[in-house]
Amino acid sequence: MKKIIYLDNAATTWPKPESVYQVIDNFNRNIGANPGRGSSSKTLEAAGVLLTTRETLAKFFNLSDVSRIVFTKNITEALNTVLKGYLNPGDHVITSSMEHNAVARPLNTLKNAGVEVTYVTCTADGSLYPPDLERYWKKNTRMVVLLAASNVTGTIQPLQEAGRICRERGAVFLVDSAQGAGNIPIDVIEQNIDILTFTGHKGLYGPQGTGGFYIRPGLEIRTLVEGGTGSLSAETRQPDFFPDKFESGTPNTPGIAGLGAGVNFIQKTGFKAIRQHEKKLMDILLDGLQDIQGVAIYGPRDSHRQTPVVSLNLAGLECGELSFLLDENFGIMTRSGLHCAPLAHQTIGTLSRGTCRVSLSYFTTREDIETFLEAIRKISRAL
Amino acid sequence: MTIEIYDYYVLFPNHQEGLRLHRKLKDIGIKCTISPTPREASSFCGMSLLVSEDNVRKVEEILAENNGIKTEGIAKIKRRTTLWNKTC
Repeated sequence: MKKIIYLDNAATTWPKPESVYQVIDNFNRNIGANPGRGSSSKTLEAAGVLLTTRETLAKFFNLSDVSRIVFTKNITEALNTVLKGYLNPGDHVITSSMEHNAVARPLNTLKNAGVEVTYVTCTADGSLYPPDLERYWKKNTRMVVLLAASNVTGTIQPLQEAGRICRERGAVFLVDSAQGAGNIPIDVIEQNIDILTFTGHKGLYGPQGTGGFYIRPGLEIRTLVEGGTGSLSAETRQPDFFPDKFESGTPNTPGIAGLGAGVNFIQKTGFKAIRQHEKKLMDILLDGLQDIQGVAIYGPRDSHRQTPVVSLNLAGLECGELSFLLDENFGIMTRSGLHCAPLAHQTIGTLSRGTCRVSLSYFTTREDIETFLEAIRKISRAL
Repeated sequence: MTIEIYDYYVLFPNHQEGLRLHRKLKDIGIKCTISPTPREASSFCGMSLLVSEDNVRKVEEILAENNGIKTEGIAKIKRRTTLWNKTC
């Protein structure tokens, strides 16, 4: 098999830690039961898998009530649930111009239903200036939605400052941690996060099909989906307690087992060690790219201010052509286009042409980065 | 004359809370058994924790601590069979 260099970790990390594969296989092979349905020992073992992953995540994100972690099929479903379950016509919500469509599209639907939406324009490198949130504040501002880091430029947003403003002014602070969780610290208490949404399959190293949200105690939202939960079965009304209220139908238990193993891997390896490794490679990548003729780099261009994600273009090529050449000639996987984030591309000035995005993980090696840089040099010289 | 024996079932809103208490009791060495919930006790959740009469008070004390575990009370149910000793 041709050697592949996978540099599309912002889409989904790959490979996963060995323990993730093992735990999923073990669940499917040896446990297999449906959690919360009946009370056989197998069923309880499956329910225990969910609880263990909830406990692991609670520790990881520094939150105390494990029951208020809800699993969903992905972060998009989590964001839809909390946005549509909390906001009402007449409410005002502030968000940034770097948001992914997972936020922008549900907000657009809500806007059509009478919710006021303000997009705060970020700087050209994708950064939000926190006082801008206050500038657009209204009497009916009930929520601020912010991504932890951009999926296009990797720009890390000032969560703590934004959270403080929300706390002072009395609005709910909702964080989209699709990019960032596992790469940069996400701390519910320190960053004043009221609702945290997360995906399992990126920086947390779990499998695809996992994600969820956490809502702080005292905050209630409506359900998006109702159904069987294994609890209150004699009644047709939906349970009003967590997490059952939001977890109808059979969950992705093998996937959630894998997510737990992914987070354990981070904790075992050391969050700092992972960040350090990624930063080191980002420095090599950014330095190398800057010296290549025709390369335009978007975003902070500073490994301290971004997750291991870089967006670039090469003069004379469309971003799609660049990704194609990297794949065809060098076996290097990147992602080209708009990355489901037209607002972000508008902010950094690439809406019309898109970018080629390169994203790393803990499993990316120095050799991978050097091979990538050499490939870009070769393509640049050939143009 | 037959002696009346009672079992004590800790009831929960869902499996998760039951497992949380089960883990907690196991950690501190209080014996309990996961059991299907008797129909007469509750319709909340199919699982409950069976504890012996000697341990009921201890369990109540643990639940009174602020550990976030949610229950639906403790049901005292008359045992219908002497086939086995359920509390172990």
